Amino acid sequence: MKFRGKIAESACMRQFANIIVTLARLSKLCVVRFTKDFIYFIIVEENVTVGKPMVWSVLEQTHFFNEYSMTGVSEDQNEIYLEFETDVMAKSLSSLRVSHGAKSVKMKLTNKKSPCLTFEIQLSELSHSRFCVHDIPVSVIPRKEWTALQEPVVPNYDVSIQLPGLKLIRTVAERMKSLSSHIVLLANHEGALILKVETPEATVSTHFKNLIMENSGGDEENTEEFFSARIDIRKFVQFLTSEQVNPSKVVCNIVDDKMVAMFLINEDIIMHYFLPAVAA
Amino acid sequence: MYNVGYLSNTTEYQQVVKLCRRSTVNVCTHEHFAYFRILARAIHALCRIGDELYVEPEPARLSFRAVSTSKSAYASFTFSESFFSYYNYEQTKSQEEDITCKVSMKSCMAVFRSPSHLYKQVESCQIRLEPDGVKLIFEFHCHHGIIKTHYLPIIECETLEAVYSKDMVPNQLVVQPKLLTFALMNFQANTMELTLVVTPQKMQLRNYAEDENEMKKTVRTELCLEPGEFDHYSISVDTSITFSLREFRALLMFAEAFNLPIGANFEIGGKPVVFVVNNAPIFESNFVFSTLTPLSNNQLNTSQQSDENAQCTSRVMKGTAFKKCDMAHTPSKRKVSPVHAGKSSIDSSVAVPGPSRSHTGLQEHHYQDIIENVNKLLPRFSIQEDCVKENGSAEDAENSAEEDALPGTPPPPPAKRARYIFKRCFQATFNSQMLPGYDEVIAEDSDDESSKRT
Repeated sequence: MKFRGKIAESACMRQFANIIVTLARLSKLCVVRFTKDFIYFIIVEENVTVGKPMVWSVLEQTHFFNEYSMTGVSEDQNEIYLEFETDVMAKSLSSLRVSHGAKSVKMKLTNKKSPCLTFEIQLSELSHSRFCVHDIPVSVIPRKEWTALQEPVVPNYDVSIQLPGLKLIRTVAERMKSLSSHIVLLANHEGALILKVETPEATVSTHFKNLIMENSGGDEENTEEFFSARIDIRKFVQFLTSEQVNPSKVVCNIVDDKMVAMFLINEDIIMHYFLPAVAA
Repeated sequence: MYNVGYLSNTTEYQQVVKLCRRSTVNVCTHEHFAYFRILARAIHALCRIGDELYVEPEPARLSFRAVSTSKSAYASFTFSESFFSYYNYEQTKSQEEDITCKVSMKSCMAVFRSPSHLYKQVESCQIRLEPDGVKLIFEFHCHHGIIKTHYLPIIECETLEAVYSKDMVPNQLVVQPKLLTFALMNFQANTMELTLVVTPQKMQLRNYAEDENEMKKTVRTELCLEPGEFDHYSISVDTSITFSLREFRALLMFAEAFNLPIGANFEIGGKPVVFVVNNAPIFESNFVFSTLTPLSNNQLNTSQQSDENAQCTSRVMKGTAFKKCDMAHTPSKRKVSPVHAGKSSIDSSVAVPGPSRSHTGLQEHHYQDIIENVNKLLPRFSIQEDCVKENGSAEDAENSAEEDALPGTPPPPPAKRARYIFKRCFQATFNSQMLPGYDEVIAEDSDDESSKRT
């Protein structure tokens, strides 16, 4: 197994580091899957839905890397699956997020006493060049565990609606966090979205109107009907901090009473976040 | 020259003069708030080093010192007369030696706690040691004529003195604090120790952990800096030094607050490193950290433990050293172990007997070398007491003679060390009936024997 890549554009370095930071907020451990053309970050929530990914994100490697070469475990399975600690990597890559913080970063799969993902960062400074090397221990995931990390089957969503602005939603949801541990998301085909929190004393809801619908196709019979799902509010808010990745759009998909899937779409990354519905 | 210019009212002036006559030490920081901030930040830095603050006034300067409980870190801030708007030091006839005192760091932090209030409200600070020597007084002169007076009880009167070499070392650097802060940003927040590997061509900063297994699981970070980045870079001996990052961050915070360059003076791993932050002539601070001794087989370990070496005896006078010497109570002997270049930690030495015979042989040999070298340039943190007795000077000489005669006792071989560490296993089983008076009943059972609970 071999992997070697180099990112030399500052915007790409920053975005890559932002992605890791966002992942660090969602989970302590993350799986990275390298293929010839794509890099996947997968977070599996063990105790909620066994084997089903909670976060599934895809990057096109050409959007980030100037140089990229990999050799997978075998010829027919030309892929590498590694598990790493997100907060450690986020801290190590913090210099990439500072403007003019780094000139380039090389990423390599190495074996230094144990398998490591080594980052060689060339920190930029006007006249001096400084090198910083981080050896981040990773664990190689054996092939038999790959099936649990496959792309989740996308169900037919009842409604797919574009969120107005992550920052706005986050402000609202964070206030609601103090009221209850679960939040209900409702959306209909007319472009209305409701965030609702219910407590014994009060029900608080925030209504958004005239949002853009994603083409979910299908029947236009009952456009006013709301589809809803009740989800864990903390996980919802955690996802909303991913505005750092600067998405061009965020789509909220609801399967009535079953789950909410948030899609964060950017030209260089797509992040899927699955939240199962919790009964009241 | 050093006037009480901050007081405009004549009656207040007279009052201060009276105070000056009564107390033996009375200093006041310069009106400009920047000076007070330096003092406050110095105390903050010292509080991250040790649990007690040693205050040592001298005729022309005032020092604040602290040492960590493991005696592996020592810091000293010395403010010269010119730092203060007035500096009044009177040595009363009864004392032959300098007045020093020790206060609890907790009390100091209570005084200097809230930085926002301190830096905005306080204009200047007056420090006084009263003649009866029971309290150390910090008097804050704040805006709007408010005066906050803090009385800190003095724990004991002792001096803290460290012997270390600053100028005669082969490796000396001067660096801007911003560079080090930037460098440390690349390391994980929970990094405990930092290793500097220096050659004339470059310096490498690395994180470090004692246990090899631990190192396998944590991220290893290495950063290289070129000599050109330093204000001064002079390395004559290639070496690597490893010291605690926690205390280093205290020093870095202080230096960065005032944008003062940090000087580093050191020789080799195993010997202490001295960091200097100063703004001559008004103040100078020295931070001395012990460094780990690198072993040639790449297994880093500590040098000999301080408790195995000769102990320096010193006498303690509780509290009232300022009184005249016809005091009734006798001084109590207290043993204090001097600090040596290595950190003393028992648990890491237990790891030593693990490896094969050849390794232990190597380590023993290495220890011998260390002791011979270390004895020459040790930071000996000796606690010397004030002696108010007439024969004080003679006893002091005896004390220092004992200190100088730190024997080069070789450390016991690993088997003996194991016996020392596991000594309870070799002692007889404790039997409470062996204690004298075990059958003596001091208080009978309140309940009857017959009504015992089942």
